[in-house]
Amino acid sequence: MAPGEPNRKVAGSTGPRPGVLRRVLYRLAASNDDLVDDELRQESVDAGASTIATAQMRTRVHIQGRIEVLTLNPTGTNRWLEAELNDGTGSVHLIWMGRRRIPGLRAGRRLAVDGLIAANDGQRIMYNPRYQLLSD
Amino acid sequence: MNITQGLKRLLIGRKLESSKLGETLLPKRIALPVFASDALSSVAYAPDEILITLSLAGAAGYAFSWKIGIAVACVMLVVVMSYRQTVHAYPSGGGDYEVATANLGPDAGLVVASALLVDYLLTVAVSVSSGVQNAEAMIPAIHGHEGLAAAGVIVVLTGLNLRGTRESGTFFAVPVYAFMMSVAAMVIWGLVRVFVLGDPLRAATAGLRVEGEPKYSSLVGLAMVALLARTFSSGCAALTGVEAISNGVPSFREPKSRNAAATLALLGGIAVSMLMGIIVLSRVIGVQMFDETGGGSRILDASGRPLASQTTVVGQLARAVFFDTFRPGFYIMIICTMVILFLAANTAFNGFPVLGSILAKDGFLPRQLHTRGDRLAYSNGIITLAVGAAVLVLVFNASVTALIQLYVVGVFISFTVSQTGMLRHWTRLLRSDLRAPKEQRRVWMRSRLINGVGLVMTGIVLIIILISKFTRGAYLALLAMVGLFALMKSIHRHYDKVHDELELSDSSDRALPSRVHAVVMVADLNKPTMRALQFAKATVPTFLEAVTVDVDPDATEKVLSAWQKEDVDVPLKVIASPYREITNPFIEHIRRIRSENPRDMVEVFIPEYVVGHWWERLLHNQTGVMIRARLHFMPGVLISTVPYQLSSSRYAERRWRREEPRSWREAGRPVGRSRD
Repeated sequence: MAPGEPNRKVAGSTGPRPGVLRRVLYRLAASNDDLVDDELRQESVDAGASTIATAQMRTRVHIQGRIEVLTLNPTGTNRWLEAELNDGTGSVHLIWMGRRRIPGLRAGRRLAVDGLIAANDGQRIMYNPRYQLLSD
Repeated sequence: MNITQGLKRLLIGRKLESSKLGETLLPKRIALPVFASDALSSVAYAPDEILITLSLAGAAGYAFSWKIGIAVACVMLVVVMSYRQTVHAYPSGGGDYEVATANLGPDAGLVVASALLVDYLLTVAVSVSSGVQNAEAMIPAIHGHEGLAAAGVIVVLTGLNLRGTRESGTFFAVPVYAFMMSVAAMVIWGLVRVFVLGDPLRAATAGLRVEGEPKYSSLVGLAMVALLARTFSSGCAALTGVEAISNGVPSFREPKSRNAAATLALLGGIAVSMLMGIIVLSRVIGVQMFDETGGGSRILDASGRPLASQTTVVGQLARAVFFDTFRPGFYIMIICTMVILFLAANTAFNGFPVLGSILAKDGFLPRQLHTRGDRLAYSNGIITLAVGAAVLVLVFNASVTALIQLYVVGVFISFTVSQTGMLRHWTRLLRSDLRAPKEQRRVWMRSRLINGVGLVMTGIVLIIILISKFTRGAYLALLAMVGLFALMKSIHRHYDKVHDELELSDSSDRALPSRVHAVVMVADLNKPTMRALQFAKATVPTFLEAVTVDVDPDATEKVLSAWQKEDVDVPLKVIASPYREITNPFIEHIRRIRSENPRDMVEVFIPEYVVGHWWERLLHNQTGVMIRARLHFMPGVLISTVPYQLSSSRYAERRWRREEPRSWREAGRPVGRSRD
């Protein structure tokens, strides 16, 4: 089961909010990962960003989430900085061409980005997004 | 070499190469004492048990002793004849187990195997206990500590057997032959003195008043039949050990079957004459025994008080025959008896591990029992037997009269089942090969007849034993056998299940992974990590990445800048770890690679520090160990440990080179694969 799935069903942004009892039961039964995803998703919804899972391909979107994996590429090959952003509903690969490091950008950092989201080889990808480092 | 290793070298000896296996084969003159000491030694306690049981009927009961002796001897001869057929037909050492499995199916084989395993255990327990009782006559200090003394003897025997068959064989030959000769000398000299020289020889207990149980003293009716049946059952202890030869055929020199059959015949003849000789002589000079374990009989001495303890039959005979004319003979007789009883236990030490190893080979026992140790003996089987027997003697405090009630049942179960199997074997041969030459068919017919007689005989004896002994302890042995049977069945079922699970079936089992993701675990950029990176690169994977988990931002920053400064040409992925743990985010990362590309192979390189001392191991590699253990449960993941030898590791290497500790326990495989 993909980590994003159950919370969309229970506390998704579409449809009415489920009852208190169901929410309590869900919080007790859900795994820690699901709860973390929930929080991430809720934060980005609160900030008015779109969620990655529902984002339309080839459109400009504003999303917010946390860096799960940050890749430092060697100098020889692709000269870009790569990061994987997760907002609790899914993840998107961010690529900054021509850069090796961005100061302050590290794994676990929360980040808001604007850019064109596209699909590439089954993955969502966003080239050279505008970014804003959020406080932890 | 440290102290433990030195001690082991002293007690067990040097490792033997696999090619030395042939040298542990036994010539007939050595095989006889090794395999026959069990059957021969029982003449040291079978007459005792016969007389003790008969004493319940009072002094008149002893009159039956020689008739019981003849009955036991008849059974013995028939069984020996039957087994001569078996060693010819099945020379591979499976003995009764193989016969039953081949002719009656694996369940019958297991019945035999569990019966024999239990009886081997009891052979050790009974023989050692009886030996300790004999020793007590010379060393009274043992009295009250029989259980411990017997356990000590078992430990010594275990050590001897871990050294290997051949040496123990030569070592055991002398006392066994000495025992045979001294019994012969004692019986002949005793009879000569009585009947030729006319000496009025009397045993110490002769003429004393014996009080039996009233219900047996009438010597008539059902009670008497029951008593005789019990006596006969106890006397049948003399038959145990006959099957040891059929299990030990591979230990004989070529031609194995012929030599084994000849040894069997020899054994039968010697055992029967010794048994009859002792019984007749004890009758002639009036030896009397009573039930020491609080049974119904007692012997009153001249002043009318009951005797508290008694000497064994052999002890009484030796005293009467030798003590006045040739005193050293008395001591030789007692010492030989004692020693041969310990050696009888040795027969089981030869038979049990071989049977265990065959069972292990067939998947009924853990595979470790199949392998040979440093000294080419089945070390694991020997140790199992020793532990089991030691527990028995400690629980029963080495009381022969108590232990003998459990004994013999197993042997007769296996006799009966294997005779049935042999009957089938010959019948099948006669039916299937109709065009065999006439002489050949006649031999088969004769063999079938012998085994048929054997079956009837052993079957009847088994029924007698079961009826007369069941409530007296045989049920314990039967319970143990049922338990063993169930255990071996379930072990077999497990091995079968695993085998089925592992069998190649559809094409996905043969699929070649399409691509290789190599992942190098990085904690720090140092020599071990660099070695792991270079090794990973050398395997030319489709994708190669280094992964570090961001537990501590400062440390991660250091790794990143070192990575940049070193200009490593491998992408380094930093994984967020919101809960400051390494294992889970790393495993999660691998799992994601797996689920995105299910047909790819993921190879994880884990640098590991190789250290020299156990305490260093506590300080290093803990994360790696944890991650490795978790990754083992993920299909499609290959874990490569890249060892980096710290300078302290040379101590460990030296230690291992001297002695690989597991080679002794795990046996077999490391033999001959020397590490230096």
